[in-house]
Parts: sequence; structure tokens; C-alpha cells
Amino acid sequence: MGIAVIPKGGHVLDKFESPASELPAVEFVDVSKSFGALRVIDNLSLRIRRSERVSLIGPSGSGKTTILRLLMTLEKPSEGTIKVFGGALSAGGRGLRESEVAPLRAKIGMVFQQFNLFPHMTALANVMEAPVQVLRMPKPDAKALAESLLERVGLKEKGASYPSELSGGQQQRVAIARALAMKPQIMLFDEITSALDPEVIGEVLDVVHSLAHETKMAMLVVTHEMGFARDIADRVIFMEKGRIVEEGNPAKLFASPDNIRTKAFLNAVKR
Amino acid sequence: MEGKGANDMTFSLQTMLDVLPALLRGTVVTLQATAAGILLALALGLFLAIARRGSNRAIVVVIDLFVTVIRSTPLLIQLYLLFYVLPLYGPSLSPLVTGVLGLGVHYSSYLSEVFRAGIDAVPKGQWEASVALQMPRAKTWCRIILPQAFRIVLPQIGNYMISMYKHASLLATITVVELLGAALNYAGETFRYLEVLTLVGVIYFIIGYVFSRIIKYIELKLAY
Repeated sequence: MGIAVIPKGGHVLDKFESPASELPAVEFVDVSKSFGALRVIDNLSLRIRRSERVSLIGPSGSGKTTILRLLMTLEKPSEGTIKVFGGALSAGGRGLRESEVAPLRAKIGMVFQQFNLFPHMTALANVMEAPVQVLRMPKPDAKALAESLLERVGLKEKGASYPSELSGGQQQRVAIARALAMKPQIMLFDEITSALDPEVIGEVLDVVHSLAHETKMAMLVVTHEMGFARDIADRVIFMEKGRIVEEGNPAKLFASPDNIRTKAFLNAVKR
Repeated sequence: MEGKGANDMTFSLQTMLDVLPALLRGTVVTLQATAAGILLALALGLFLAIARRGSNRAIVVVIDLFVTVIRSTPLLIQLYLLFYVLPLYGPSLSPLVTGVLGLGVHYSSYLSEVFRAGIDAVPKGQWEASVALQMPRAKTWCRIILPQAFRIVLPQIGNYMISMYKHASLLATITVVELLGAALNYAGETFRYLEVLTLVGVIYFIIGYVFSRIIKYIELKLAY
């Protein structure tokens, strides 16, 4: 970097060398993850642009969910480096300082298969919790934010309900609102419809579709809903055994995959 | 049971009325000791449960040893040690403070295991959601994990509270004039054991019953 040219201020430097806006939102560099002898992610490299929507598909155990969990720092890579907007979020072998990781992790939000709502709090309190506790937002502001987010996911009337009083689809929509409250720039959706009854899957996917239209968040979607994977994404990645087998334009990949294993997988799930 | 003492065996309501004020004063002491003992046991038990979850192996071993020893020896002996032996080497505490210390430490060993089970019973997803929401560790404990763990173990905590309340009668043996101590003092002077101990039993039962109802009520109140 041109240290000699620009005396100080990294942001000035960036204009010359690596404009911040061109840094990928997410970058996996030679990342591997093993659980004991099992290699779940195998020397995988991956870049996701800002505002890019990427679907991860593949058979169970192919490592899709692990990619999201690594990115959310719920797992630590065994090898390799994971970067978020150019900063090292986590790396195999060496520990990173929490004070450096926290601001990067703050750009990421996640929605889980099992919702993981806080059962002892109302829907509204679930959404307010992190803004109040983490961002120290004044409660009236957080309440207004939470109400508008619940309205956005179609649950304006359910703020006072506890998770146990809500259907699975409603709980998952609250979970989406809760994640949005922290204004992530990268949103991770981990099989968000897998625990839902078929009749409520649509209401959750509709919310995600509207987010894709109305926001500029990068989205990483792990799903078994192939229609959703195709419609939401700019790019689809097919994984197997911890590796990327094939990736590309959704229409192309679903219609005429190049790789024989992609073809076999898509045929299998169609049935 | 026969002979000259027979007259004294007739049940005397007057005796009960006479002893009642002393017993009520003793009841207050019992309740004080129980309340303070519970607070100490909760705080120390929670501390032990959380400290044990750390990665420091030495701390885990020390805590396990402490919990095992305390749980495997009678409270009465622990009270005697604190009352008769501790002053030889350390501070001389009042009987009541000694009793509270004994009750609190003894029950903290049970409660630490109860808390441990409760904390383990909170689904892993709750921790993960907290990470995803950028919640710092301490906030996650206080706002997310412990409130849920506490609800899970409340019935067990309630049982131990009632057990401690009854165990507080052991404090009579280290000269604390709590409910049983007050009763024994009076009965020792008047030989009216029947009336006095009956009344003691009734008082223990009434308070214990009310106690258990309150805990039941809190359980229902906190259910979600």
C-alpha cells in the first residue's frame, strides 16, 4: 500500500489502492473445518460481493450450514482465513482479538432453522433486546424500531405475544425482524423453512423476497427449497463434501448444470 | 408414662398460649436465618455453577471437591465446626451469623448442581442467537441464559428452600434461639413438651405450607 505517498488516514489510502466499496462483503481464503476426523469444509475459497444474493444448495452434510456458522463465528475454521469487508473475522490456528472481530461480526445477522427466539420475552422484546442492550438505543426508539420491523414482517398485531403463542411461521418472521434490528449488511439464512409446516413456508419466503427487493444486504441462503434457492439468488453454489462443485447463474445451473453430480442432486430433489 | 407425672400429661391450651409469644419470636429468627441462608446459597451456588463452566481445569477440580465434601457430610457437623472450631483459628462470629454461614454454604453445594443442570438445559440455540445479535457474554448470561435456567430449576430451588427452612432448626444446637430453640428452652423449664412441640410442629407446617404455595404461584407466574 502507498504508505510513503499518503501520510495518514487509511480511508485516504483506500481511494488509491483498494476502494472499500470494492472489497468483497465476504471472503473465504482456503478455509477448512474439521470436526475430529471429519472434514466438513475442505480448502474452500469463496467471495461474495456487497448486495449479492447467494444460495447454497447440496446434500445434507455437504458443509452449507457450516459456512454460515463459520461466518457467524459460531465455529472457528481449522485452517484458512475468513474476511468480512476486508477485515479478518476469524482464522485457523491463531486467535483474533475480540475488539477487532466484534465490529466485523456486527455487520452480520443470522436467522436460524429453529428460530431461537428468546422464549421468556414477547415478540416485541425479542426485537428490542439487542438494540437496547448492545447498541444502547433508548427504549422508546427501540420500541418504535421493533414495531416497524414487526409490521414489515406482517406481525404488527403480535408484538405482545410470547413465542410459545405464535405459529412456527410467525416465530420465524419475528426472528427475521430481530436480526434486521441490528441492521446487518450481510444476512445469513440457515434452512429457515426446514422446521416449518408446509402451509406456512410461503409467508416466510415472501418476507425474505421482499427484503431482497427492498434492501441492499448481501444474503447467504442455505435451503432445501429449490424454487426459493433459484428465485432469490444472483448466484447458486452447489456443494458436496465440503467443496464447491459448481456455481453460477441460477437459471442456467438449475436448467442445465454442467457437472454430473449437480445434475444427479437436482434430479434427486425434484422427485 | 405412669405415676406422679400423669397429671402433667393432660393437654393444656393455656400452656400453648403462654409459650406462643416466645415461639413467635423464635419463628422470626428462623425466618431471618432461612432468608439470609437462601440468599447466600443462591449467590454462592450460582457463582460455583458459572465458575465451573470455565476452561480452567484447576478451578473445576477445586469446585468439584468442595461440592462433594460439603454434600457428603452432615450439616450438623459443619455447624459444629463453624461454631466451635472456626473461632480458634479465625473470626468469632455470632451464633446466628455462624448458622447462616453454615446453611448458606451447605445449600450452595446443592444449588450449584441445580443451577448447573438448569444452565445446561437452556438450548444451545439461545447462545447462538445471542452471538448473532452481537450480545456480549455477560449480557447473554444475565438477560438470556440465567432467566431461562432459573425458570427451569425453580421447582428444585423451592424444594431446597423449604428443606433449608426446616434445617434451620439445627441452629438450636449452636445456641441460636430460633423456633425450636425457643421451644426447647420453654419446655426445658416447664416440662410441657407435648404442648410446646405440638405448637412448634403446627407453626412449622403453616409456614412451610404457605412457603410452598408461594413458590407454586411464582412458578405459574413465570411460566411461558
